[in-house]
Amino acid sequence: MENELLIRCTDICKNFGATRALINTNFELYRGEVCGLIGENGSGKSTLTSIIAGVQGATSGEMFRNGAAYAPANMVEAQKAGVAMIVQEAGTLPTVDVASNIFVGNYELFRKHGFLDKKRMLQEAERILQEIGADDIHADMMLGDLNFEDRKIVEIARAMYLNPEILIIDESTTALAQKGRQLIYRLITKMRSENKGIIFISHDLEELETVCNRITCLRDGVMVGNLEGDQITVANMRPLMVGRELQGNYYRADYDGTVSDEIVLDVRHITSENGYIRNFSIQLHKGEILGFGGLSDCGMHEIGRMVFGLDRYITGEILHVPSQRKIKSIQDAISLKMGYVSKDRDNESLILNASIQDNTLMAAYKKLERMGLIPPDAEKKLSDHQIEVMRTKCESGEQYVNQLSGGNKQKVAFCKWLAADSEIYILDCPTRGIDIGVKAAMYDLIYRFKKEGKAIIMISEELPELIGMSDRMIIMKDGEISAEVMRDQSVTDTQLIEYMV
Amino acid sequence: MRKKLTNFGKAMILPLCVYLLFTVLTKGAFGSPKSMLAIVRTSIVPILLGMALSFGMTMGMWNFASGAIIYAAAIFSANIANALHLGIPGVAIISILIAVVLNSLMGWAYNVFRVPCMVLSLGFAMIYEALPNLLTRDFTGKIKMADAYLADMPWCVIIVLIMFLIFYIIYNHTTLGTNISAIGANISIANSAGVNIDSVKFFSFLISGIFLGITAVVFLSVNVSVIAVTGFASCSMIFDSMMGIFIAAVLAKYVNYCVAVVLGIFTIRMLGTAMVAMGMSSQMRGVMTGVFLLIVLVYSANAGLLDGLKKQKAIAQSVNCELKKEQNIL
Repeated sequence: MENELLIRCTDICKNFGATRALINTNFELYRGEVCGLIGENGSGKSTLTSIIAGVQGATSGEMFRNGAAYAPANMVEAQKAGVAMIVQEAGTLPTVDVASNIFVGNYELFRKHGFLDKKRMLQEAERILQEIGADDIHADMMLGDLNFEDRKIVEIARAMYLNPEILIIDESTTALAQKGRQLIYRLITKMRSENKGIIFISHDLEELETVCNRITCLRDGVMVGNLEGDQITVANMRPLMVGRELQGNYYRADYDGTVSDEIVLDVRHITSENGYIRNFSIQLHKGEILGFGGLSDCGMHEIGRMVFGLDRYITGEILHVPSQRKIKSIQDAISLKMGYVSKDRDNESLILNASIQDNTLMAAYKKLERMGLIPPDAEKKLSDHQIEVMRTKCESGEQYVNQLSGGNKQKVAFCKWLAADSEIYILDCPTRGIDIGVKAAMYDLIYRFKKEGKAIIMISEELPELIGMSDRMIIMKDGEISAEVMRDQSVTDTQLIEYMV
Repeated sequence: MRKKLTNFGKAMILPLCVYLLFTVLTKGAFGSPKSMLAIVRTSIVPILLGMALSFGMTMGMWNFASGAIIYAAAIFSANIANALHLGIPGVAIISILIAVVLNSLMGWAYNVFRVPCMVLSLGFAMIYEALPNLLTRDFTGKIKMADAYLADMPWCVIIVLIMFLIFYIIYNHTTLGTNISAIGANISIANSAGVNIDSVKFFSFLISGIFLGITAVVFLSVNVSVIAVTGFASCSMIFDSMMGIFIAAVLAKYVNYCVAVVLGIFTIRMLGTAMVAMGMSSQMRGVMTGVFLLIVLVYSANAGLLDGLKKQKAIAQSVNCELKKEQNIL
């Protein structure tokens, strides 16, 4: 019974366009196992578990559950097959009660003579909440009245009500305080004693060391190793997560991290609206690539947004030093020749239902304006020039952006700020979801910006990219700077990860 | 129980304020029992229509063809029932059937063509408005004066009570109602949890059709004769109900949504009647109704703003204190 296989994944591949998120990944989970999945951001951990939980399908490969082929079409099918998942992001229904949240998609279970047996549904919800140790949350409470942690606990109850044999916990503890974490740990202990299986994703290596009895590591979509028993230590996990040579030579070749003394942006004691980032200060120099790294919830993305005026800050100031003007809004930032490429490219950087030309010129109309009018030939000329510079693969500038590949969309997002002659670039995950070829072009461009004396803030979830491109690396943890590392040949992924986790 | 009563009291503040304000302004004329009874009677059609619209609006779907369906159902049912001598029961059954067919057809088209409901319903509104003009001789649906009893007391109230009970049960005690609420709360989570979105939406059109059919009968009873309209004129009849539903979304924080819908629409009707009692022109009434709605919605949308600003101020103060301490140490 102890070593009975719960699930086997064989040669799982998952492609997102040109990006290969999982490459022939094999994974097994046995009864009584708490398997920690580790790996850098983008290593494929969440992709693999989401395939197991029925959130998305694999491009190829097979899964077997209790010896039979297993290919859930959605989360409900997976849940019915005994696989449940608690995800990182909040996924609750705020305007309905706790019971309706727990049983969403399964109200049929409580149908009696054509009507919903609300009383039984509430009783059942209360039972599950008590079972998982959340006695202070009641089934008839409105979800919107609960705090974030309690909402997360309701999600846990939702995952648990069909009594799953496999529970996937995807970085959920990150979002939880002590109460929620303890609840999850109790659940893990209970499930383990019942000979069930848990797949546990966390960036907290100490937590994994305590909780797991097996560690599996993914790197760039490939399973690279396992740790068991006494081998499970933080010291052993770190080298397993990294240890990669830079693939190809597409980062900048020099290791000269010296930059001009001239400061272009002075961020002084800023605090985000929710107080997660407090009293944060940094200076950006002319011709500098300032890299920001850390786990996805470390606050680095928020810094980028505040510097560009997208998010408000409630203390301090952001000063554009050459003009001595303060940046308080997007308009301020753009007028000071700043550009921002968002991590959420399709929603925040591009208008998908508009042409390449319209997207490219969005921030450059002022430049093209002649006596209040914009000459069409000047529009076309500038747009075509940018297409040529970036080698964007398209039919013409009139082609709609939604018809382009991810890499070419990203090129258009860059073009927008190139066309506006931006001097300061804030690039949030500039190579996210694009193939190696386009990545190389982007790195080339970023390096060219630097050489031209432009200043770049590069926020990245990929350590090789951060090390390969930055003059200076700011590593963040829990909304604060945990380390500042200068460009040097000796900087390694392992070193940075220590500051991150 | 005490919390429920307190919340009910909170939900009643808005209609009570409207009542008291206009009773004072009209020196008691508006607040008289006779006047209130008249408001109840004029609220019947908007409340029935509001219940019909609620199913879709909860899920973010705006049905601008509802008015046209009511006109078509009223005119056709009157003509068919008259021809077959079926009386008011016949009018009711035929009206419900027609409204269900017309609204379900729209629901089917919505699922097949994936056009936003607002756009789709405007297209269907044009078609459904044209149907009585094309298919009836005098573009009119008439019933005998003696058959118009459904618009009188106590029938109109009985109909509303029965329909409210059905509305309440569907919303709170059926899987369809709970699925509608789940979709309205977050469609992507409901979808990933296995709620059949297309099916729920289609059935919401179908059920809504029953309510529209009943509304059409009462509408016909109130007017005795209903003449076909064109050029989206039918849309005007849905606005009181829609505004009432907006208010219901605010009141639903305190009372059951179904009760909130009735309270919201009744408040809007009270406001309209009160302004008439004050002798306001129709233009002024429109302006005042709009301003009232804006005040309620702006208050609701920004209810958390003040708290948020207070929190931000506290965070800023603590950060500045930390900073001063650091600077003093240095």
